[in-house]
Amino acid sequence: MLRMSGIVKSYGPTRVLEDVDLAVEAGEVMALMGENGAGKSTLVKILAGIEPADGGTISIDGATVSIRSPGHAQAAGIGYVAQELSIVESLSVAENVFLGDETLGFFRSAASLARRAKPYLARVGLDHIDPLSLAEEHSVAERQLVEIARLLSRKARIAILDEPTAALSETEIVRVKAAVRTLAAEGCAIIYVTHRMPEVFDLTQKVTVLRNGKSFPAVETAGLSIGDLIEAMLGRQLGQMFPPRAAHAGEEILRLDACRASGLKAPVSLSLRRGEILALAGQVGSGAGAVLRMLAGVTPIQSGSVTLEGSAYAPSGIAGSIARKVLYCSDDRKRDGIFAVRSVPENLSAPALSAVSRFGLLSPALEGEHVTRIARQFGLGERFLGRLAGNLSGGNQQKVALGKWIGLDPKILLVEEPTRGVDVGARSEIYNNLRNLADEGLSIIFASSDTQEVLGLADRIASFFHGELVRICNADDVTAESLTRDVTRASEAA
Amino acid sequence: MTSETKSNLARLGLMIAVYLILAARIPSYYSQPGIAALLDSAVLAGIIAIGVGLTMIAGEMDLSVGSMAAFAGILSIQLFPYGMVPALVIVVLFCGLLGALQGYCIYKLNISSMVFTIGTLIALRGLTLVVSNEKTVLIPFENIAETDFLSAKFFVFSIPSATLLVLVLLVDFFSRRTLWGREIFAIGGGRGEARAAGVSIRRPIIVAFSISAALAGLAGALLSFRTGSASPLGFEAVLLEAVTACLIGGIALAGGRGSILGVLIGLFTIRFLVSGIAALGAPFWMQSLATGALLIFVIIAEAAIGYVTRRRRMARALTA
Repeated sequence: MLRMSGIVKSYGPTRVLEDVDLAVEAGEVMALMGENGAGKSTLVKILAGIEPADGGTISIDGATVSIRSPGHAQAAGIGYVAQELSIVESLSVAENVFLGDETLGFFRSAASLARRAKPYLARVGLDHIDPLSLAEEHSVAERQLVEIARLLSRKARIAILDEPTAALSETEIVRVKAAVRTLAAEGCAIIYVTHRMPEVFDLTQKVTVLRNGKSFPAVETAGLSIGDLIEAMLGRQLGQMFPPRAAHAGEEILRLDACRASGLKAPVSLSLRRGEILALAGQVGSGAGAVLRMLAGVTPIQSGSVTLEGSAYAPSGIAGSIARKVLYCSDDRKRDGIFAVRSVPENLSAPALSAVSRFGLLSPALEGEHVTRIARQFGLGERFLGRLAGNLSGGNQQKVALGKWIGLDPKILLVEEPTRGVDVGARSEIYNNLRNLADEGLSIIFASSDTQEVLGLADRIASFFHGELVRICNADDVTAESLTRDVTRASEAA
Repeated sequence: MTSETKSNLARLGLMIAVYLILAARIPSYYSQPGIAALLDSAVLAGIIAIGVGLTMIAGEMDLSVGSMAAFAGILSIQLFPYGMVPALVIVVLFCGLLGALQGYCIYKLNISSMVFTIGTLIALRGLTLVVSNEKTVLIPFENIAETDFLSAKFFVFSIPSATLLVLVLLVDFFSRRTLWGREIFAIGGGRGEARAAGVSIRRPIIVAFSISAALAGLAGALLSFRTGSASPLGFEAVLLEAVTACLIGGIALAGGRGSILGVLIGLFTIRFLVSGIAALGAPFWMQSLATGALLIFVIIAEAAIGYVTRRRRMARALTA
């Protein structure tokens, strides 16, 4: 149905896409995979009319089309759900379904829009929500589904979904997947950009892999293994993704005794040793993140006690935890992980300004030294140092978000979703960085809903479900199945 | 009931409360001429506030309205010999065109409308001084009676105050029930999101600034006709009252939220308060003090209610 061939695109001197071919048939879900920077986003933006291609042809149903603007793409029946949502929070759900749709006539009423939106909402599993309610009253997953409803309403024949599940928890992903299947069942050709392996095997029929701006011929998903796929994306083997575990852990550095905080339904007791990586496994809202936020001083410790290196620890606010060298990296790096409009060096030195100053004045020499050291440690190349943090890829942003804390010589690093929205290559680098830091004596606690990551990176695993600690085990005693069972206990009981 | 309706009802309640408190002390507040005077006092800031409110909903702000009104005042008096209606139509269309041009520049240059309209605020004032030869212009004395009908009262309404109310209804309908109006809300609520959804950014910005300028022109012309004169230095203070009316009326500075009916409510809340304080014989500074205090009260109340709603929503999301 859709055929893109010989697509070429350069930004200035850098060639982003070279001779890329891609084809999707009606009713088919095709995964588009590749590391960040491989050109996936550029390719789908060309198809959506957001970026012009420098060369190559796009044909739909055998007829060559020229797509020069988002309007052209829409007219050609191409719908695009971007990585960043295009839902206006202050408008109603119904208006968001028809946002940008000028075919409904000049006059419109809230009630008629709601009536027209209902069937589309029902098809993506949102029949229970009031189309007149404001979009901001709904969860990220529901807003994502509203976008898919918008595609349906526009009768899109080709749908591009750019990482629709990056910010969602496993249970929410199920809803998005169902909506994608609805879309495909209606004869839509779907290009599904994702980093999540389970979705690829669960949802898609074909995979096209991009590597360094070149495309590989599409392959049937059914005949693939995860290892093959990663090898195609990276050109290397899966085994290298995770570093080996710590040989031995040091003495106990942190102890939680029957602690409660907002987001926890039962008291939590934990301990952490020097040089150890502890995973808090659980889905969004499981309480795994709540423990980190409590330790970081974001939410108060309601009851129980925390001991850090033998003395009581009860931070009042983030500044309190930083003073004790317990540093927290949240899962929302766009909001509080990086200063998007500042350069990478400024980001890296921001928490340690007093350390890079002399007599209260910034010392460029000290700052440069500080920044170079962190950049080297985190594999941030020289060429990134001149750029604004917001313009980096997700993986490099995450390195900046983590790296800025390292300059403070932390004792404990708290990381929430360490690799959300990060491509496979940068992931493995981040895992290695974290492990190296742990080997040097840093203790790390991370919360994650990614099973692979929990199993691969952690020394010990504490699983959470619905605000309660389920169990703590050594990572060697845990399998993917047992972990999944722990973090989804209710679905099993039901 | 949507949260928007609730918020408008709360504002309406506040307006009625201000009215009742002052009406208890001031008999003219419930006399026919008294109400007519209150309505008339709201015309200038009211018509202008509709336009400013629309630009604020679009996530922008038109600060040039005062100069635009002064420019329109001079122009309308100079065009008076061609007849009042033709003069009015020409002035409103011309101002609308200037506004559209202003909107196009803001869109094309992609700069903050606050910056751009400070520029036009100053430049238009200069243009007005040039056009008027730096003098107040007057309607010839023998023709002055022709404009008397603008001050005539029908029950409590004069033509200008009825115009204000009709305009509020029209623009409110436009903003809520038409594609162009909804686009203004969409780009104000989320510029990037709206663009990604395929909403044109150019059209709503041009439309909002064009309406704002046309309404400023209409207000300037109407008021100048009613008084029979126009000063090139006039209408300087009206912007502040218009913006205050918008803010008290629930239009968010960040854009995307609020309604034109809300602006009317905000406007009359201020008018009731200010006129009432004047009627009580309090010194002039009391009016400013009371208006400022009212605005701060409303904004703190909004923040408090917003905080509670967010907390509730979050609690609901956690238990869900």
